[in-house]
Amino acid sequence: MSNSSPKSLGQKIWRVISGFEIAVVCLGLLFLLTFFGTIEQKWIGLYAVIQKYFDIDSFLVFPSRGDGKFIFLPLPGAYWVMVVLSINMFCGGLIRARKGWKTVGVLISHFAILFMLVAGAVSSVSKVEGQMSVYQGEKSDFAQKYHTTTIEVAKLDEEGHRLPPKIVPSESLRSLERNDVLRAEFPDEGFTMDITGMLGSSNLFMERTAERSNEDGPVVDGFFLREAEYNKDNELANMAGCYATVKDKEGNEIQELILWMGNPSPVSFVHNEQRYLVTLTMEIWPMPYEVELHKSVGEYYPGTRKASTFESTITKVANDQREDYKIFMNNPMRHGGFTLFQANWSDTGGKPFSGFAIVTNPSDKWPEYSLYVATVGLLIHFLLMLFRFAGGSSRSRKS
Amino acid sequence: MSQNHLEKTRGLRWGLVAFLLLIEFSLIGVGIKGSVTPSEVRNVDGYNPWSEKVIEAARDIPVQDGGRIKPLSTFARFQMLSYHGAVTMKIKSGGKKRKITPTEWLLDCIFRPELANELPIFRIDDSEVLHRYGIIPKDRRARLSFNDLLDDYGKGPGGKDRLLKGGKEISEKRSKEERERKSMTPNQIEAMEASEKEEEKEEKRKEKLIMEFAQQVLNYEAMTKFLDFGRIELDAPDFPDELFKDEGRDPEKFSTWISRWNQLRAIFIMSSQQGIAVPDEVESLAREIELNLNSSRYGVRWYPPYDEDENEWQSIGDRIITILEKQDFPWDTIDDEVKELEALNEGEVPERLKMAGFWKELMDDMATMEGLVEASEKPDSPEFLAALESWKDEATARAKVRGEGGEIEGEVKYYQRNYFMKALVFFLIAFIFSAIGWFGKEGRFGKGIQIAMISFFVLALIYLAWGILHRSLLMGRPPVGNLYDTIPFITLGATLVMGVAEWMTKRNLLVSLGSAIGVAGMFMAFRFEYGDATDHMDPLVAVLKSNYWLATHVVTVTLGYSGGLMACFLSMVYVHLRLAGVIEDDKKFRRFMTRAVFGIVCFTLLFSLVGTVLGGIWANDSWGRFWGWDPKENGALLIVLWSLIILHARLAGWMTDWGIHLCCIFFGSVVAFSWWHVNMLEVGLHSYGFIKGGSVIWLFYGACGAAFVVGVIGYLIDRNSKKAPKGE
Amino acid sequence: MTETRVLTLFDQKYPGNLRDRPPLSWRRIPPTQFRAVNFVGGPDESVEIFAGNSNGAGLSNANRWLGQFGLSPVPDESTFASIEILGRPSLLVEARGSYNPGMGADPREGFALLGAIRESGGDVLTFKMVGPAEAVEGMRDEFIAYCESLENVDLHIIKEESETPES
Repeated sequence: MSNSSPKSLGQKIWRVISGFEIAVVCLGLLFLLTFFGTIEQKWIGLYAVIQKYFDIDSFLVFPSRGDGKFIFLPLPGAYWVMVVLSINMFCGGLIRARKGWKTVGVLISHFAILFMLVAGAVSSVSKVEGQMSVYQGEKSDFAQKYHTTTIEVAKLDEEGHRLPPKIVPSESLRSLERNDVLRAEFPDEGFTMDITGMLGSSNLFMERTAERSNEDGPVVDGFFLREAEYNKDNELANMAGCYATVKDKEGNEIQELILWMGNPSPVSFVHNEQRYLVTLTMEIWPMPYEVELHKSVGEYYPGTRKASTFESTITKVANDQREDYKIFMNNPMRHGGFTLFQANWSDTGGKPFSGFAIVTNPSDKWPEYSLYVATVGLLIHFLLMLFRFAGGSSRSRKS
Repeated sequence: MSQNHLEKTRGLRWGLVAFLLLIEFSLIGVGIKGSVTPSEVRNVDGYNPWSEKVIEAARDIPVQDGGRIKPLSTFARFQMLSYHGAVTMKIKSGGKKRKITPTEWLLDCIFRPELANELPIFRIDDSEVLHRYGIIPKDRRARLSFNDLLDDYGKGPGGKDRLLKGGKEISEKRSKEERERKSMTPNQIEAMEASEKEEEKEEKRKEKLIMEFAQQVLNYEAMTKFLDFGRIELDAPDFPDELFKDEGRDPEKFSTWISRWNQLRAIFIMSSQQGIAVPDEVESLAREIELNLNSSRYGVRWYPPYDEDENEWQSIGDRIITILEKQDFPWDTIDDEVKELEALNEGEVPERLKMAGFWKELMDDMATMEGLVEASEKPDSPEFLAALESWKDEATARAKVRGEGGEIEGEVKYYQRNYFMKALVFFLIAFIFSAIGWFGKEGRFGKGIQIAMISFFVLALIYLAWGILHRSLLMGRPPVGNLYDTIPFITLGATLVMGVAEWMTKRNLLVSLGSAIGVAGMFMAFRFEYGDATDHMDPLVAVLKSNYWLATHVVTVTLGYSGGLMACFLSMVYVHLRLAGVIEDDKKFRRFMTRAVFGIVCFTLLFSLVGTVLGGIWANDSWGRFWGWDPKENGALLIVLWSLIILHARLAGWMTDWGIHLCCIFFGSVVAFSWWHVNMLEVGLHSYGFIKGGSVIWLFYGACGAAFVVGVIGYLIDRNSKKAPKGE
Repeated sequence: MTETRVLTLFDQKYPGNLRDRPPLSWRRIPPTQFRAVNFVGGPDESVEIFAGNSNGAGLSNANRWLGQFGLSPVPDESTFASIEILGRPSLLVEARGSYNPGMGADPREGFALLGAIRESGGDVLTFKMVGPAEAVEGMRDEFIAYCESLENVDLHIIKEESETPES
């Protein structure tokens, strides 16, 4: 690398962007972010830490303990540190780096790691994950996206069949706090819905049987919501809840509703002689195929509750084409950009049931490819170093 | 400092190095050794040790535990570890000191429960918690026998019962609190926790200990009582002869009444239908049978299930209950069917006589157990040995028919050979020889020391590798599958590399360090095994069951840990040597150390990076997430990042040799955090590796910190001496 | 801004696989442990209509309901009228008077009950309408029509004709 002092501002900037200094600083920042991000999980759970430290929307991070106590200076968000690092790696590690047989290993590794970081960036914006639960002997054509909350409003046709529902998207509800009010418009239907009292984790109680406290939500239809302790060990066990007030075009109240994610069936209201069903649920994710679960097997090691194997025998039905698969731990089904994993299994309630995790990720295999390339690069480089070291050692012994 | 001065004080400065290093490694050693329980040796009158032959016979009996078939000796080992925290129990009897092995102890529990109750099996770290139940041991850290627990303020029996009742109450209280917590808001929970006074927190801690200890006592009792049915003499009333057609059966025996179960049950049903009360003697007989039947459901699971398609082994009580509760059991014709079965020649049992086969087997099994118990009244007798050996052969044959128990012999050998203890001893001897070798490599004496050092080092490596290989073969999977497995493997990696480096460069230092690492590693292995008290050969949970990934990801990541630790230890030695000024005149050696450490960092980077990415690919195949910022993943990433920082900072010219070594000392803490500390956080998807907190890790951080300080001081002195005018 | 999504089997799964057709005047409210389907209706939404699974025989359930109104139990099912629910004859239970549901609730005067109990094998489905007597009387036809309109919808169940792969 040239050590002559740079002449112009452009050259100075280039030197900085492609220099080791940025690399070391970025790596150091990532180190701190990873460390504090690990410690803080103990208090706020994995998902919250990812939002706080590693998400694309996180620009500034204040590492703290669960009780809010500060433990370190503010740091830049990890996603953006990795962006800077990627630029630095490209400029310094590939373009500016010395080219020659001595550095070929390093160049290859840099390229591969850069590719892996790009894969990570792609994945963080375009990966979608969800779960699909199916009982043995049943089928499903939808999944539910993790960490999302939506409100669905469906009306019925004359025969009483549900029509395609209107959704209040999860992006709108994501940042809603308890005291915020979100107004959702349904212009075609002639009403609006004011959503308030949103709780990320809650329980639904009956006024008749539970003792109320002053922290509880109002009573609607004999029920009220109470905030529950956030379960960070099993994030999917948290049930969101909220209140919704349906109003007509003039702003007159039509109906007050109480919505809770743990309810298996919707509540309803009537407007203009039309019944509407309202559900609070994790975002429903229609799949491009149906999954028929023919056999669901779960085995535990004898005399223990340690899972030995969870297996599902399924048929994937898409456009009248049927394909059979066997899915078990470490053996997912990959098809058409969707991957189906055996996530869990249960048979409480008599019937066996398979829980599948579904992931769609365009950069699914990229880390694997980049690993092979990086390994080759590193091996080349370090073997060269080893020979030089051994040669040096033996020379010094001989002398 | 003048050359003369350096020469004169060389010995002193070497001594300083050795002293400082010893302090630091001792800190770690203290942590590894753990808290010491008083070594007061209990006197147990009349303890006759079991004969070698009896122990041999018992050792090989196949039992099912933790989801696999293992020898009784392994089962006994981990049982003893869970109660006693050690693999031998020391007592005094007849003026002689004795060491009781796990198999012997288990034999005592099963066949000599009264004697077993005298043995100081329970280890409790805070015996103050038992005072409220009238159990008042002399020392806070105590080893108690079951009989010690019976005491109630010295006034008589009652303590144990109060303890068990207390444990149950605490357990119910905890469940209630859990339920209540579920209907509280986060603010209410926070307020409740904030208002919890120190005494309340302390009481909660004590209650947890009581609950755990009460459970241990229950488990122990169950182990000593499951063959009680063979010891009792039932007080049966005189029934009319025609009621039971089985002449010649002893009405005092439990097995007799199991064989008469149907008729006995009929008596109760008939009485209930006719509205007549069952006579008291019959009631009390039934109660006695039920009590013993319940006890017999616990204990050792050494019976394969009746059905060859089932895979859960049973205790004798389970065996009995399985038959008694069978819906379609042919009670009325069973005796005739058994006779028909016995008349048949050896061969396949016809389907319709299957039940008869099970019944006959059950009767035989009960008779065997009753026979064993009877013979055990004279434990030295040839009758007992014969009965035990016969049972062992029968049990082994039954397992073999199912294709199980093939590894029993191999596993017994594994524990007998005690590979890791031997490796520890050889490493220690190698270290001692290498230390002697520091003072003189020349001459015949020096050469002899060298040869001894290398021989013991190689011997230690062989035992270590052999032990890992044998374990791997027994488990049928690659060598590292759980946290325990990482310890010998990392030790092997580090010591092997030290050995190879020594061979390449011929510096005694590397063997010394390698041996020290070997000793520390083996100590850690024992400490973890004893502390955890779980059988780490038990099968892996479903998500880990992939030999491909275990062989690739786990092995490479573990080697990465190895590298990080090696760099740390080498750098610790380096900074002490520099501070003491013993290598100031040896530039080549200093350069060698720095280049070696740098090379190890590169090695660590390669393995950690490849290993971490392999882990991501595995996670992607398992649950669709290549990277989840999970603590275990983050730990591995920290190692990769730190090694990258060292490399790039060096390339940027920011670091001299001091800088590299100081960074490598810190590296050790990073590895410790990743290897151990993340498991103590109890957070994340990798929930199969959680362990209870240990003070060892803080002592290790402390040792690294001390070495870091030594390094900083050394650096400052070095920098100042360079600034000072020459020729001083 | 609201979006629309396509229909999936999520929209065609019903509690107990039963699709019901309640009148427009009935409003769905959240279900409970014992009320898988829960409505309010009638004047001022004073009438509760709910359905769920129960255990015990049809007659014992019917007698329990009568007991809630302080009426004596009847010896056999022939006392009750019958309606058809999902192809099976089901008991129609009626009562009037002071309603005492127990569980710490106050008794309510001038109430009435109209209920249906369907037994099939070990499964017992109960449908119950309770409220002020006049309101309940006025909703009688609605209630019976509701019970008779139930249909089994099991689109998410794999039918026998589908090929089952070799396991």
